[in-house]
Amino acid sequence: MDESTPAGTFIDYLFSMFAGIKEYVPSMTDEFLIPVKWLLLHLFILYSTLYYPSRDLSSLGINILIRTKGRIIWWISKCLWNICYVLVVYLLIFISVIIFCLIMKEPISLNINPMFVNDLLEAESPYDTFSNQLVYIILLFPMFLSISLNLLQMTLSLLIKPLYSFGVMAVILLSSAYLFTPYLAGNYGMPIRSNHVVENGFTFSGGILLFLILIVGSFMIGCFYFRRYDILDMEENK
Amino acid sequence: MTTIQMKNVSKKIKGTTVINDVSITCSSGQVTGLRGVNGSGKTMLMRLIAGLILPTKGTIEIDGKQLGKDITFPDSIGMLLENPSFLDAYSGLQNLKMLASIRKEVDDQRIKEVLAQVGLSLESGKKKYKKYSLGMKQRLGIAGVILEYPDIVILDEPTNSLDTSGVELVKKIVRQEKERGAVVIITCHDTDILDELADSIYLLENGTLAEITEEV
Repeated sequence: MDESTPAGTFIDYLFSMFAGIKEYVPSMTDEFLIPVKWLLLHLFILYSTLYYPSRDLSSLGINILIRTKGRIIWWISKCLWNICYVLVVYLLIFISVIIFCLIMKEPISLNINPMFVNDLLEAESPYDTFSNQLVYIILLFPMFLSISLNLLQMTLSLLIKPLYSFGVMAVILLSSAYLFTPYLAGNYGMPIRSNHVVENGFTFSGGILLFLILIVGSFMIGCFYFRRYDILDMEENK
Repeated sequence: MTTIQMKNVSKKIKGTTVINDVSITCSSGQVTGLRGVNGSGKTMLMRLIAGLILPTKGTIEIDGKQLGKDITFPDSIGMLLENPSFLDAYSGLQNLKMLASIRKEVDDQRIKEVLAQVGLSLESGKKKYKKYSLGMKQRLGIAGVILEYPDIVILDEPTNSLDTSGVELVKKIVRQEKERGAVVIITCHDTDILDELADSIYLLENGTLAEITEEV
């Protein structure tokens, strides 16, 4: 490593993994670059949970459902399963980065290195130091985004085919990368767009609010809809 | 004593009427057979009785309690719908234990007993489910149905994938469940089996009751 380049820390590597892309301003010279790494991570998590609830309802889940006698309990259990799955995936990512840091003898710290952010991520941040809140955003917001979109996808799968529901999530993520708006959840899953990195970026409270709306909203709508949902074979009722 | 009363039940799915104005009454100690070609609505009718789908019109009452209004699912029901499905990574025994652990109404002794009842040895019960043959899967599915002495027993094509001895076993189990006082509802492509077992047989055509045969 070049002596002038400071070592990246645990949080720097996480930041580079979850960063996303800067706000895209359409112009003749700048073309829109899809944030492949960021997109694939979220799409992978979404796809890996996609069929679980519907497959469960076409198989053993029915026997469990008639024994527990609770449609709401079943829905809650699937929401909890989704949340646990996302937590485990992120835990594995955190552990992998820690192992990487140990192997590379990089510091396992939560100090964000401004040079790492500006040079590697090309964030063009006007700030020399970063607040602790950015650390929370890096650690939590991508995870909250995955949880929110997973629950939304599962709720939507009650109404349309799971694959279409996955398509809607992909559109939300892609639109979020293209459009910087507080109404598209994907923006909050890109720490590089935080107001701690760029001026006029998203706020911590704005992110928490939108994630809460999505998580609680998906859960409630699912609860309401599943009470009278026709449990048929996987593809029969779509 | 359990009674299922379906009153003028209709069900529409995606604009198509799959069950049309069906009224059926089933009581304890009776075997009700459903007959009809594929897509005639037999499985839909079973799903309706199980509370998995709710009628668009009409009501289904179980001991006077309306499904979807007073109760979400029947209080005590065992059900085999088309193909049985269990956890591949668990053994047959573990799968049954897992199901039994939900309501905690039966002990390990009953689980072993029910395995024997469906013709599965303890040794095959310890095999992983993914290693089961189709016939063994079907037998385990039936074991799951009768495990907790349910008041309502729903068997959709229980003789699928079974050899002659398996079919005889199904007949024996259906008679035992009837004697125990369960409401048994069964579909079977083999009309001879239905004729032999059922006290009344309903013929379904395009979701409509076309004929009722009652044993005198």
